[in-house]
Amino acid sequence: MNDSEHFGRSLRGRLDDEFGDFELTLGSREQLRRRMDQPRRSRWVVIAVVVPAAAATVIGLIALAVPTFSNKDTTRAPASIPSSTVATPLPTKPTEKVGRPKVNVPDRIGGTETPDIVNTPVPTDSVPLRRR
Amino acid sequence: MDTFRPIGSRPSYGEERPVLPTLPTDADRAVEQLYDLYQRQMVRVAVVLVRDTATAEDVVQDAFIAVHRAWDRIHDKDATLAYLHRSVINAARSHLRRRSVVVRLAIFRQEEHLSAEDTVMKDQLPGPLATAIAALPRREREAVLLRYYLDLPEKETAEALGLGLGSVKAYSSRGLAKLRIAMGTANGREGKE
Repeated sequence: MNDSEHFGRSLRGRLDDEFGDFELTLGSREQLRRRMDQPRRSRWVVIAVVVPAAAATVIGLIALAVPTFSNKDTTRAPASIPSSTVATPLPTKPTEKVGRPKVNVPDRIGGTETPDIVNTPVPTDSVPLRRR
Repeated sequence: MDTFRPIGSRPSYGEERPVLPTLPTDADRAVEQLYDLYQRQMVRVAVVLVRDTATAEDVVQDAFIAVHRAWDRIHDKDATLAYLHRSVINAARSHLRRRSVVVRLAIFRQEEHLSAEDTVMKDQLPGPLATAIAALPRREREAVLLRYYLDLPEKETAEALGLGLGSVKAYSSRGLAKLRIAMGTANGREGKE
């Protein structure tokens, strides 16, 4: 045991000497007994905290479950035009067919050659075309 | 190497420390028995922790009530004393925390005087050693009290304080070094006078 530990061991006796005339409050044991006899508050804590929280959870679950099980999906847009509406023809002319660019495919494809695409202009009408 | 010893066979905890008997299974009787055996020691520790006798008694009683409430959950009844130590430390800590909030609020409000309870507290320590221990930082104070006053092994001290073994060693040796200086200074002053 080194000097420091010896000092540590001596602390107990010295502190007990300081507490020599130390008096405890009379009746503290009776007070302890009374406190032990008191009903525990934990039941009230359960009633006051847990029950409302559980009730709120149940109500929330029911509110979420009702639309799920009632097959009414209100969030999705209608897939097609409703049958009651009559389709009217559009006032614009239908788009005309535009010639596709010609593709020059060589008769014989070599090892390194690739086919060339040549855009040949095709005359069109002066009517402007609408883009969709 | 652990210095852990079973509670019942420990020769220390002060010469007056009684050996923990086989506790009755009934919570009320067991806690009363514990109270008779350990109340005095616990109050002494609590006085140094909270610096006030009346508060220390309240803290210790709260700790015994905590043991009583947790009685069914304490499966290993040999660990009851460790639970009691932890309860005393925790009750003292929460009391100090509450008091520091009160003091801080009083300063914030620029009140000229604190409550009577706060002002009287400084005079509640019984002697120079208790005053020197109370002046240590909180962890050092707790470690010194449990390790050297209650003479708990390092492992039990660590469990009661919620610290690692290394921390307990460091805090207790640091606290002890400060105490030696403080007590040496106090002794020197007494010698001069």
